[in-house]
Formats: sequence, structure tokens, C-alpha cells
Amino acid sequence: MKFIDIALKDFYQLFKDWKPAIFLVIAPILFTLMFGFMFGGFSGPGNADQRLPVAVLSEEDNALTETILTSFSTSKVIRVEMADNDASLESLRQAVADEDYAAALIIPAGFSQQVREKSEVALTAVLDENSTAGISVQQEITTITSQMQTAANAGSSAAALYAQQAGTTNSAEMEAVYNNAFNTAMQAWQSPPVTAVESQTAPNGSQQSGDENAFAQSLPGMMAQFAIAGLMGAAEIIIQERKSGALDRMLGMAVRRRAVLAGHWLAMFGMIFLQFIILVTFGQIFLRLDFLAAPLATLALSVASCAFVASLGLLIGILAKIPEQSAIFALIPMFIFSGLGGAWVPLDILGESVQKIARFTPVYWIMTGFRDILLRGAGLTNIWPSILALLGFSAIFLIPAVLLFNKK
Amino acid sequence: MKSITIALKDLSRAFRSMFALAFMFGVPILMALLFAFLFGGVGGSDAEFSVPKTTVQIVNLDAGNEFVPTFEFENQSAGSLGEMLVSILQKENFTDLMTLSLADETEARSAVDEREAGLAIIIPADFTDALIGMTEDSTAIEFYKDPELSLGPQITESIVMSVVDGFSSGVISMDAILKGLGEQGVELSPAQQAQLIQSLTQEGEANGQTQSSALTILPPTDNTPSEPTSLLQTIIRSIMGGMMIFYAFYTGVSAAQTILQEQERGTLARLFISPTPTRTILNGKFLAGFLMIVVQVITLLTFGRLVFRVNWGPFPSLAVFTVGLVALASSFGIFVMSFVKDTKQAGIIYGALLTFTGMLGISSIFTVGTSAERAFEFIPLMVPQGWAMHALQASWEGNLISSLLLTGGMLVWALVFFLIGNARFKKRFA
Repeated sequence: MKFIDIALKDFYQLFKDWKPAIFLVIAPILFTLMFGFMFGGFSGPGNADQRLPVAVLSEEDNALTETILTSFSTSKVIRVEMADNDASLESLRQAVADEDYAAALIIPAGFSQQVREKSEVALTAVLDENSTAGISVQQEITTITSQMQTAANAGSSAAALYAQQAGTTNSAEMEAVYNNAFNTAMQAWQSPPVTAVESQTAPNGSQQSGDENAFAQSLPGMMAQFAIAGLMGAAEIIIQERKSGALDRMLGMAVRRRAVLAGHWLAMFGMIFLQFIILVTFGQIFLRLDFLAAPLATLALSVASCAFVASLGLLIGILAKIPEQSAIFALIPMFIFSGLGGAWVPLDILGESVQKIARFTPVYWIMTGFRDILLRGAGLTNIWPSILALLGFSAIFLIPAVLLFNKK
Repeated sequence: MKSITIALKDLSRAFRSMFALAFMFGVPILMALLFAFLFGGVGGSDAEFSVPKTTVQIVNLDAGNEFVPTFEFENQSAGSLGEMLVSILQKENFTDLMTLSLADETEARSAVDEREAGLAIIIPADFTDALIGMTEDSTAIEFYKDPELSLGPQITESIVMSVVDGFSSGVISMDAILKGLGEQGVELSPAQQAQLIQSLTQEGEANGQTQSSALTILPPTDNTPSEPTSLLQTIIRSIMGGMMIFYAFYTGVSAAQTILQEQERGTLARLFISPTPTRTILNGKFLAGFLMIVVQVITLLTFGRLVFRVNWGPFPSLAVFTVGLVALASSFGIFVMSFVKDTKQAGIIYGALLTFTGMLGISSIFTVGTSAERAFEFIPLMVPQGWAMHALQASWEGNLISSLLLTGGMLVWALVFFLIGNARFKKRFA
């Protein structure tokens, strides 16, 4: 069992100081938290107001402006912050440019008159149409102004019908009809006749409403990325062994080539598997990611993932001539596989061509498998395509590694 | 002149090292290319960032209403508002966003579960009744979505609900008009009411699709670039700028690390016994780092400009930022390495300190548009990379005053780092 001795020696070399822990554990946890935070991982009930702040400057003050302000203040997307009365358009533009606010909204002088006379809800918004925040605010403002437009139209129609039906042009009576219809319509928008309800398949197979756990994207992504990053140090051991002549000595002592390869492969597999165990445990305990809902599937997928990474590491160690090369040979596939495989951003927000190409990267299959387990409650029978694909990738990297090693 | 000779020697070594070149140029360029590919597709119609297309199965359970047998719209007629909603969603203007097909409820749910569809829309049986005011309670459209999809189903839901809001506006207007008239003692006959609801629904449906309102949009500042910047270019600019800053600091540390390497190899000791003052030798080393970052930053800025047409901002702001970044990254390297005993310890600096401070410093580019955006305006300023990122953002926004202020801050950091690092190295080799 010489390969086990070699694996244990590699293990000792890898873990004799605590630096590898940075790449293997601390960095993925930090990046998981950061990416999870970006995708809303900490937004939940009881947290601070997460709505986008919008500065509102009202150049007139009456019942109509109060009505529209009430609509904005009940929005789930934007948080109204009233600007000082002496604020100018330029100061608001600067405040948005400085990112003090996601947008600024100006209710101009003559707003009410325009609504009444032309049924036109004319507002001015300062926002960046190229930013996500700007697009979100613009959509919300458009929705609310459309609602007010409906109310204004209803008011006008009611006043016109009243004039027609009652045969009068009494402006006070017509205004009363207008106001009544307008206010009724605005109130009705608070509880419209048709609403939306979202549901999805819950991990336990039931269909229920629920929010996606943002860490279900970021943790598997960072596990995959930093497993490959961890190869920088692991592959270096193979290079040092060759450069120092230790490999020749081992081969001279009747250690079989395949035992050397198996030993190194096993050490890398063990190192990555340990990393997976720590990160899965972290996710299970601290991030509410239920890996243990499908323990066999999690185990099988982890084993297949580690097999692929270890095979890649073996190939890197054999291909690289100097230690610096191993870092480059590890970083390049790390960036390409992670970027294209969906470790950084969910693939569904990317183009169709990228989604097709992603299937040719191993990280895609790691992501798909773990997301299936975490978000769909998939079991071993559901994730076998991911496991097969990863074992296939493992073979793709292992075969040339063996051939090159024997040739050298 | 000896300082320059030492600097040129270090430069020549650095530019012959594949490792150094990969970190200085390869990785930032690779990242920019990767993001350009991810968000820009592979040319053709994908050449610009586009919203993902969602496969949607729609289930129309709407039973309609016996009093309103048909709804006329755009020279078509539908037996229910559910049918009308389906027809509207099947129109060409939505085909870029969704692929729609009709299904029964079990099929649709199963298609989502099996990943054949991203979203199932289930229109309830009382949809028409709710929209023409025949029910007391409101009803709900169910959006049954694939939990693994993030953006596509949300966009589809938003589109569907904007059309439905258009429908809702009919019954809301109708109720409001009847109430307004009723308060004045005027009542409409059933025939008049039926005619009114038809016209209001059609009007609302038209409004729901056009979403036109008199909303005037102004950009945040007049200092917008003279050339238009697409969303893709904005993404690449952020990523490439962030990566440039991230790896400029790597270069600064890597350049300063050569002092330790030469010390371990014994070549530094040989230099010290030559008739060259220690100060000259160290200045040569510092100059090498400075020049390496100058080359790196100018190359990456030029690459971004030529390949991706990135608008980095007006030249004065960009020049000010570049000076600040070069000074800060090189002095940061000197400062950090002055605390490190040997090259073995340097590994931890690459692995932990630079990764952590670098990611924190450029984190603002990843949090744009998220709920964390405001917090990440200030948190990155705790590390020098954050000042550099803010200065670059000020540059591309064309804000010369902010650029100057932030660069001033960077130069203060740089001065402090240099003074401490220089003093420690001189003390070490005195």
C-alpha cells in the first residue's frame, strides 16, 4: 500500500502549516458570504428597510400630491425620503450621482392642474437608466403613475358622464364627482382585484411559497472555485518531488509509477474532500442550506467533484515545470470554469450561447448538482447526470496525466 | 544612476517571468474577456447584454362570465379575459422575452419540476369575474417558478402583472365612476354599465401594454461622457477597473518581495558590500515596483480602451487617478514587505491580506444595484484599494473634484506607507 504512504506524506506536506487553510476554507467562506450578501442572502423578515431610497421634492402641496406620496410611501420597492424644500434640481442630481439616493423624484409646480385638466401625471425623475437600481425605481414610478393616470381618467370620465346624465355644467358638482371617483380609484389600487402569488417546488417536494436562499448559489460556486485554487499548493508538491530528485529515488526503490500517481491523486482528493466537508458543514449550520436532506446525493456529488479536481491537479502537477507555472495552470482553469460554469452569477441571467457552452465545464455540473439538492430537494436518483459528467471530466484529465507521467 | 540600473534589472527579470506577467496582465485581461463573453454572448444578436428568455407554460382556468360573453380587442375577440391575456402574451413584442405555450395545470407544474419550463402561469377560474367586478374578493394569478431561475421569471411576472393591471384598471375605474356618480344621485343602466366596462377594459389593456406616462427622466449628472456607454461596457469597465486595481497591488507587493528574495539568495549582501549606499539600492528596488505598476496600469487602461471601447473618463481625472494608484500600490508593497521576515511568510500576504483587502476594496462594483450598495460606499474606504476604486469611479464619472480629493487621500496613504516601509527596511539593512 505504498500509494497510501505517499498520500500521507503529501498530506503532511500540505498541512504542516496553516496557510493552505486560507485558500481551502477561509477564502471560500468569505467569498460565499460576500456573494451571498450581494444576491440578498441576508435580506429577510426583521431586517432593516432594504427598499431603494428615493428623494422626493414636491413643488406643490395639496391633496393630490399627498395622494401620490401616500402611494409611493407604501411601495415595496422604493423608500421615500422627502428632500428639503430649498433643494434644487441640480442638488438632487448631484445627490443621485453621489449615490446618496437611488433616484430623485420631482413633483413639479402645476402637477395637480395637469392631472385635473389633461389627466396627465407629469413627473420628473433623476436616475441612471443603466443601473439596476435606476431601472427598478423607474419601473415602480411608472406603475404608480399609471395607477394615478387610471384614477384621473376615471375622475374625468365620471365628471363627463355626470354632465351628460344630469345635464348640468355645475363646476362644483362636477368637481365633487371627479374627486370622489379619483379617490375611490386610488384607494382601490391598494387592493386590486387580481394579485400575484409566487410558488415553487420546495426541497421536500411540496409546492409552497418561498424565497430562494442566495447562499445556494454562492456556496457551491465558491466550493468549486476554491477547490481548483487549492491545487496551486498541491500540484507544487509533485513538481518539487520531481525537481528535488525524490521521484527518481522512489522509482529506483521499486515504487511503481501508478503507486506514485495514485498517492498524489489520493492526497489531492483527500484535501479537497476535507474542504468540502468543512464547507458543507458550515453551510448546513450557519447558512440554512439543507445538504443533509439528501445525504447520499451530497456525498456522491462531493466525491465526484473531488475526483475531477484531483485529476485536474494531477495533470497540472505533471504539466508544470516550475512551481510558478502550477499557479498559472491552476488559476486559468479556475477562472474559466468558474466564470462559465455559473459559480459567480446564476447562469440563467446570461445569454443562451453561454448557457450552452457552460455544459462543457465541470463547474456547471457541480453547480447543477448542488443547486438541485438544495433548491429542489433532489436525491441521488435525480443528480446522476451531474455525477456521471464529473466522473467523465475526471477521466478526461486523469488519462493524459497518466500518459504524460509514464512518458516522462 | 545606480538606482535606475537596479530598477531596470528588476524590471527585466519581472517581464521575463511568466508568473509576473500572468498576474500583471493575463488575469485582469482574462477576467475582462470572460465577463465580456458572459454578458455579451458570442457576437451576432448576442453582442449586447440581453434579458434572458424564459420558457413559460400558461394555464387558463378562467371560466369567463355569462353576462359578458366576448371581449373585443385589436380586431380580435376573446371569450374571457384569461383568453385575452394569453393572446396578448403570445404577441410578437414578448417573443424575445418568453416562449409561451398552453398547458393544463398538472402538465405545467410538471414541466417546471422537470426543468422543461422556467415558469408556469396559472390563471384562476374567477379571473374574468374579479376583473369585471362580479366577485367580492380579489383573486390571484399563480406564478409557479423554477427555484433555480432568478431573473427570467421575475421579468415575466412583471410583464404579466402590468397587463393585468391594465385589465384591473377597467373595474377599478368602473367602480370609481359609479361611486362618483352615485354620490350625486346618478345611476347608469345595466346596458350603459356593460358598454362602459368594455371600453374601460380595452382602454386599460392598451395602457397596460404601452405603460406610457409623462415621466421625464434626467441623468444624475451633466458630467456624462461625451460618448455613449452601453450596459456591457459599464460592466466590463467595472470589472476591468477592479481587476486592474486588485492586481496593481499584487505587483506592488511582488516587486517589494524581490528585496527578500535577494536577501535570501545572498545577492543583496553582495550589493551592500559594493560601494553603493544602502539608500540607493533600496531606492532602485522601490523604483522598479513603481515602474512595473506604471507599465501595468497604462497597458490595461489602453487595452480596455482599444478592445472594449471602455470610457475611463476625461484625461485629467484619469491621469490623476493613475498617479495615485501607482504611488499607492508601490508604497503598499514596500510597507507590507517591510513587516515580512522571509519569502515563506510572503505567501500568507498573497493569500490572505491582498485577497481580503483587494476584494473589500473593489467590492463596490459587485454591490451596485443591491441592497448592500449604500453600505459598500464607505466600507471599502477602510482599505487603500477602496480609495483607488472610488477615485477610478470618480474619473469615469468625469468628476474631477472628487477625483482630486480621492487621489489626495491615496497620496496620503502612499506617503504614510512609504515612510514606514522605507524606515523599516533601512533599519533592517543598516
